[in-house]
Amino acid sequence: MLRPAPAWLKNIFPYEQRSLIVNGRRMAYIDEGDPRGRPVLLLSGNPTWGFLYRDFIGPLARAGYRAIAPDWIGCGYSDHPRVDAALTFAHHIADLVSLIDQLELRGFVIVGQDWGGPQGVGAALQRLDRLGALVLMNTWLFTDFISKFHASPKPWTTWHAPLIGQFFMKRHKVLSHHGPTATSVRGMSPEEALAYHHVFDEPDSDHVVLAWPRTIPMRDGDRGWQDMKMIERRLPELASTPTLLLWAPGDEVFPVEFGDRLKQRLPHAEGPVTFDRARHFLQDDRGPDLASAIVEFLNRKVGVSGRA
Amino acid sequence: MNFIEPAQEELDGLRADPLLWEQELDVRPEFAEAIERAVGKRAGRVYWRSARHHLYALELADLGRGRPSMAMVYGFWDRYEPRPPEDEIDADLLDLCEWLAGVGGLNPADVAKVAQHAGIRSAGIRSAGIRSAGIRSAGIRSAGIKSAGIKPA
Repeated sequence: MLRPAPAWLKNIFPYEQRSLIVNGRRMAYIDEGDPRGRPVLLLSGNPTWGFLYRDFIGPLARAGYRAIAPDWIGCGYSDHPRVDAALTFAHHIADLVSLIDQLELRGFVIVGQDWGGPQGVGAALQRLDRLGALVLMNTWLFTDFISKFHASPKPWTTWHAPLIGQFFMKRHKVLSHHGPTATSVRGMSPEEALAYHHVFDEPDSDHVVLAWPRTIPMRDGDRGWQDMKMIERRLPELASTPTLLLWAPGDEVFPVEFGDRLKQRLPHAEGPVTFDRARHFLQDDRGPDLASAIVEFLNRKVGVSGRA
Repeated sequence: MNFIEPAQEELDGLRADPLLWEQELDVRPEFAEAIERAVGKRAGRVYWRSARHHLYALELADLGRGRPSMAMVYGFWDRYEPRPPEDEIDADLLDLCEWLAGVGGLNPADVAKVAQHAGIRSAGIRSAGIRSAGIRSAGIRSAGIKSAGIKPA
């Protein structure tokens, strides 16, 4: 059973939380808009949840699309397992595949940022016959390029080093309680900040926040290496999938060089279209503008009918 | 690291409070192996005492991969009394993190800077129990504590 959302949250996130069981755990998701409309899966990354897409859900639904924003297992209103081995790259992909299957989604669109990119594409590659389009924002799908941020010990590699990471990420919640607010360009209200942070209030509830950084494939043998290699190898299978790259060049985690490299791997993609006044959580900084760009792209490329 | 062997009578009067649980210690294999070399064992507990005379233990678990694979850090408190102040525990754990960084090939100064940036402060007196040579701290640190098997950086 889903825990109830607090009353204050409903003022800024008025959507009904639904849930289903994926691979033995409860996954929460928002499902708004015409059920016959083309499903648009809005996939967040570390350490956020469906709230990150609050400015997308209304515009997509009003345009005739079915906006679905799942919370990855470990995040948001989904179950937060305390077992790191339940939070691998492969588990996340299989969880999303289960959701796609259970909701019987056809012609779906993947919109992914941060881990929402590779995990969403990983799931899409498992259900290619049902994939309609891709929108990728500040993310990556390859192993051969590492950002300065991810290689830096101040703070990144220190934040997730063995045992040391437990101190910073779990005991002090440096990312789950501070990441979105610390990188906001437009600034957040106290309620918005709390909306991101409150889902990790319980001590030890943020295993996923530490597991994800360790999954970033920096070298052969790393936690996420094999799965990212699989995705990288299969990218040519997306050659006929309409794809849009939207990018915040002000993001130090995935600077625009990542968008350029995605364009090399997916040369048919439109973009990267850049959005200034935004950093890593560009959906929060520039939500309405990004939603407009996505609606325009989908209307032009695939249309609202999900079963066409 | 000055490891000690607390008397069983002392341990009987304390409760072990799990503070840090590392389920995937060998997500960085070389780091796990370095800890094994530093503590002199692949599985089991090593104890140390902080400047405030809090007793801690690092417990390693061997899952058969040729290195320690899991780790738990415990604080030991009076058996039926609440924890000591959290900032005292933070100071002690921060010392542990700096020592681990030195052992594991990271820069302990980076740990201190990251902690400072995150607003995590020691309580002013740093742990006497763990010390990595080469670590500088604004706090007071006890001398005479050496890292077993660890060469100064």
